[in-house]
Amino acid sequence: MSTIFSLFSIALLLTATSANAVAPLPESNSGNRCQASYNPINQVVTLPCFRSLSRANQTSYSRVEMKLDPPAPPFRLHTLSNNTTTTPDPADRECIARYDEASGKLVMPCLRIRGDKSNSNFYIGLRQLPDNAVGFFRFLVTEIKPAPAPTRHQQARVLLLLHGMSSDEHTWNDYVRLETAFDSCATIALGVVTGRASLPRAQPPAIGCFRLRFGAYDGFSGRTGLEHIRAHGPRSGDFSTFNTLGKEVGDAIQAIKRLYQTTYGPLDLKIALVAHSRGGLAARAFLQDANASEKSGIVALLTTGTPHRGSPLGRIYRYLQDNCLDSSGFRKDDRFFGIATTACDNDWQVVDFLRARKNCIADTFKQFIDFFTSSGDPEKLDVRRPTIDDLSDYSEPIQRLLDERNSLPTDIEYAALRYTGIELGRLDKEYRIFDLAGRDYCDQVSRRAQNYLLYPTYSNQGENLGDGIVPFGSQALPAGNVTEYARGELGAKLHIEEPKPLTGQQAHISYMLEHLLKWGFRQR
Amino acid sequence: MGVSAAVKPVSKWLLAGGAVLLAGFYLGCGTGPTERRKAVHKPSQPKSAISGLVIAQPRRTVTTTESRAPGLMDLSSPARRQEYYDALLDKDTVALWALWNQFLDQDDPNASMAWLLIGEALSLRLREQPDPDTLEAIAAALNAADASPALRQQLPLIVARAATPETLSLLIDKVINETDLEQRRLYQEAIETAANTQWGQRFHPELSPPLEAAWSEQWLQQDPEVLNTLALAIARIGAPDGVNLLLDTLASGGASIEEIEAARQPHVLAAVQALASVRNPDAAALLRQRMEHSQPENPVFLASGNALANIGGPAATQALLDWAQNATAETSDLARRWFSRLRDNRSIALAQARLANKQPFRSEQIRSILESSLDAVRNELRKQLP
Repeated sequence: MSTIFSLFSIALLLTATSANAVAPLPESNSGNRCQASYNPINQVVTLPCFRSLSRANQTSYSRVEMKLDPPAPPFRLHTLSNNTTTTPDPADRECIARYDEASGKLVMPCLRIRGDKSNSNFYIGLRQLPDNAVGFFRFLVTEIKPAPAPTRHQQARVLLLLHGMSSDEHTWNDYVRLETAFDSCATIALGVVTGRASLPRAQPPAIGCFRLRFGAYDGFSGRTGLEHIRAHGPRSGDFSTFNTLGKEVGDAIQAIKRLYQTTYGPLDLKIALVAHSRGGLAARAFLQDANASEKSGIVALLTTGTPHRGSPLGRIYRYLQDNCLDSSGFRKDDRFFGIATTACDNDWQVVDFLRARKNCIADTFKQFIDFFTSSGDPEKLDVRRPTIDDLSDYSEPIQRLLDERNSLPTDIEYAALRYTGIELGRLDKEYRIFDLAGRDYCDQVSRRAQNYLLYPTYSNQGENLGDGIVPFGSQALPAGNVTEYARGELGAKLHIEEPKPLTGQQAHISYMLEHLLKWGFRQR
Repeated sequence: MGVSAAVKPVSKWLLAGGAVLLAGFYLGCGTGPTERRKAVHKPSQPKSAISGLVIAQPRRTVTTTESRAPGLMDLSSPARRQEYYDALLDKDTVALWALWNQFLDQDDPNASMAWLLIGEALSLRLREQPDPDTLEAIAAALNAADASPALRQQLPLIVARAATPETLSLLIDKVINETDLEQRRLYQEAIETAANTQWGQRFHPELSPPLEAAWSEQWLQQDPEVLNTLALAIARIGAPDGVNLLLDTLASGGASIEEIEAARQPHVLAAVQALASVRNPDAAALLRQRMEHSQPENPVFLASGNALANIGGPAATQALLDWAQNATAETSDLARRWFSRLRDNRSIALAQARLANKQPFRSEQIRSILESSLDAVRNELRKQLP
């Protein structure tokens, strides 16, 4: 019995400054009234005679640290008084214990009774620190139920990858290829897992991977862009609002849960959202939506290059709308024999250039050599799509997301990868849309447009450094009742240049997830 | 696409019209098409089975004023959509194509969602069950003067996601022959999507030959947009033969960057830009070989090394490390650019191992650049944490 006792003894460390524990002395707790019990099915220890008393009042903050003896990951509890809010434990987040004073139940997810111990008696030791201050208490634990088969509620881990504007699921090709933790990464579109969904039958993959292709509701949105462009089906989500993009995230999570439950039965599914650019706003719209179901099981949101506070480049939509459309909503065209004569002519030229990204020939040898050192072909971008307006730092949808930031669930880990060192408007190595210092080639927007986009906030270079599209400051999650795990300042990586530096940055993303979630990306 | 080719598949759709009605009933959408659709899909007297589907006459005649899909299951929930989609995958290409046409241009959101799901299923079935007649019908539909905007916008992407040599050939044909600029851009987008589609979690070199053939025919045409699209698709697929073709094109432009800059030939420029998009590790051996047989100032050398840096992963990084070991200090700028792209764990581990190796570098400066590149990566990783 002493061996068993040592195996399952628990040291309960109470920080004496914030909470006290009142518990029966060892001699008096052997009766039924104070007998503790442990139910391995729901991993609940019931401690009827354990009471946590706050010195101030019942709602004040208190912190209790628990650990298993012999050594095991420590548990942390806080707010023992009225509710069961927990704080993440940096050592092992999954082992956070929760105590509910009203019921006297202490949930310890990492306590495991080894072997078949049914119908046996056990002791759980509780120790209140300082060790010699109060004493050492023992509780008799009886009626241990047989532990459930470990496969019944096995754990499964999934990454859901969310792309940005004017893009699709292939934006993650580089990451998926370079990350060896995945066997596959199926596409979810329209709320369904496309293709012949295949998961290994025997057990879930160590880390499953899915990528969402946005745009399910583009054709239904009724939104039109500049020059009356509209979507007749999925167009990358560029005609959807943040709310409908958030709904797509919810649909995708439902699809993943359904697939796993169909394949494996009940299981503890944990899903991490990894989002590039606007994908991070879609994730936030989903998480901040009080009516959204399916949030259970979401354990993390990692954004990379997300314009949490919008981007001044998004202002180009409103600029063109207000200045460069005629009364019928089409572009003003004052070109004379194809030569731009007005500011708007120049600006539409840039719009068309961004859509086509045909070769523009470098003016200088130095610029020309950039072609040979580029990391990929530039992406096409249609700034006439309404999502551009949504992404402006002045936009109402961005502001609404900011206003509602405290609706983000607090039991999820958040982190943002933020990049700096590249001036705003530099869309790739060879091209920038502003006529700034130095020689330019290809088309730049007019001075009037440049002023509209940059001033006053981004007139000095310090403010506008970032990843070329999103200023550094905007890439941080807005402060609220959740905090980012990290606010690192990473080196110069372009937002949209291939090979998707932000999404193909396998080491950055996986390293962060390892630290955020303790998921073993390097185990394979 | 000649007239005869366009007409031929239509006859098949006359037959398939019956099949789709049966499929529609199976999927809970047992109603007829619009008047216009009826003209195209009017059922003949079906007496046999096509691809396992028994052709049946419609159970009733519907008018255009009637809701076109009253029996269609409610697709508002993802669960029902998945059920519907999974059922669609049991259909053959012929039936799906007909069904897609039936649901085209409907105002009812539920029917529109069905249309989108059918499109998804059609992509997969076109890949699994290539059917030349269906492809011809698709080509004809895209050529039709009265094709709706929805068809013009979505159909190229459906074809693209099938990502087979046959579907890609169709798109190549379109992009070369399309005169409408807006529509051509949709085909360009579709070709790039096809090249990006890595079904089965791998690159698909079998997609490269039709692009290579088109490239060889088109480069004389000097149309930058078409050339860019073809070159980019070849590069993204990254089949060694395709990459080699682009490198040969580059070599034909001159023996130095100065020569290429002076000539500025569209096909050479397209090749230069596209080569930076190569990601297929299967091309690493070729790129290494082309580097080894070129001088550092040669465009082929520069483009090959650059592509290796962009590919990342063990094979490409190993090739760059081997080059670096024997590189002279004059190439230190290239080493700096290329090693600054180390971004995956396996490449980082390889570089660390190479530095730990006692074998000396020919240039201490290059070794130092590799060290500082690794330091930069490690610093960035550390900076990520609080």
